[in-house]
Amino acid sequence: MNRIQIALVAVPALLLLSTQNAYAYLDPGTGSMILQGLIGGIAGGMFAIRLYWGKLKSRFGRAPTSGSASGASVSAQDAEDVPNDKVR
Amino acid sequence: MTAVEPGSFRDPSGQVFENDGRIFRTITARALADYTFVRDSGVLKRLVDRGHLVAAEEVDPALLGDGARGAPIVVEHPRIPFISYPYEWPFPALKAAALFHLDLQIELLADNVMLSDASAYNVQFIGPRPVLIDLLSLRRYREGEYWVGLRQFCEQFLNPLLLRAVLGVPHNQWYRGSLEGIPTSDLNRLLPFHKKLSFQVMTYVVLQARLEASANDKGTADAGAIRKKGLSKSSLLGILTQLRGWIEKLKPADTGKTVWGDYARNNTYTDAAEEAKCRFIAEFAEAVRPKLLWDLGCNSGNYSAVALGAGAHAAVGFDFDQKALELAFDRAVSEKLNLLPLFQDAANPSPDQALETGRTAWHPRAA
Repeated sequence: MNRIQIALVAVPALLLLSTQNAYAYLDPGTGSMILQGLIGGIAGGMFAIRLYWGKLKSRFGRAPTSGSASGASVSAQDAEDVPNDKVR
Repeated sequence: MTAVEPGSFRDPSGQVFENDGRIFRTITARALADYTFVRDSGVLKRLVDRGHLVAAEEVDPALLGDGARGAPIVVEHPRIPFISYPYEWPFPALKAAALFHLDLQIELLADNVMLSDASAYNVQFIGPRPVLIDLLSLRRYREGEYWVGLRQFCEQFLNPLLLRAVLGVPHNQWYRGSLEGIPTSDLNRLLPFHKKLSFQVMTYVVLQARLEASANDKGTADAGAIRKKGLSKSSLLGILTQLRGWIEKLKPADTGKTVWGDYARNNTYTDAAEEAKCRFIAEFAEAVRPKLLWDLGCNSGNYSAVALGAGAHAAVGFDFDQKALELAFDRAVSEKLNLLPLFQDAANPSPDQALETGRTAWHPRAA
């Protein structure tokens, strides 16, 4: 496990400990709401970075339909990175 | 005769009726504003045209007589060939439904439309293709709102998938006994420590289970403050895309041999006998041209494929072998077959729970 992975596990673990017993008389649905409050920032940030990367790549990268093998793998990566892309 | 579809009795926004084999849905005054918003913004039509939402044509409410109960709008839906439930779906079908739900929500956010819940029962399959059947779960997105369906999404889609992907246990039997899905707290208790050491499992299972528990416990904070804080749209999109990326990578953990998984290649038929069986099925399908063919013990769908090629309109397959069902589902997707393979154990079939929950038994469900 590399450092980033450890950090990714440790952050929610710390949050978990610090939020214990903090919220009360709430229905369990509120639990998922608090969860979104906690992870929303990180998820939103990652989403923005991905979007930015996607734009940057499409500006400087090759066209996604280029024939070379590496080009094909880049376009597959792009398909994964662009959030609105339908993979079906 | 008009009969209320038992699965829809809980919805105050409208109900589904069956009248002489036709399917109608009432839209009550309460749901009118949201319905007209998605209809007039063109979202409904776009989704229907693409096959993501079951078609809905407005009809004269008088058609239903007293059944409409003063609902201002009544729509008619085409019949789904075979109604199935998430506890009958094999792993790849549940996964396809989960990704479909997330894709739909991600796309709809651009139109400022939110799905009001994340019920797996609102997804049905036409062949291996998922389709949303509840147009009343589309409503206007409110800036800053949380994803109210997250908990339900986890219980009805994510947790059953994790059960298989992390622990190698198929979701079907447990889900059938727990119709609202697999509770996050139960999954959390089952996972061994080393399986929790991933960001995603830590967040959506461990942390969520703890937060649910503490939300039930005594404490001091109030929900109003959290609600007021709100969630930005980019955070919401971030959560949705993160979940999507994770679920797309999930695979069954138990990849060993099963009783029937290798049946298509390893069976007691000789080549001549198999050819005779194929010919017999093809002749039958050609002569009868069934609208919906039941393939009991469908295995990986070989003979369904033969029947579909010879004139059967659609096929629904049943088997209890998970591996065989997965092969059949993947094959239906890749070969574009109108085949829906479902988990069904003939010695322990889906029970009739219509009165209590709206979920009907297995055999009376033929259209």
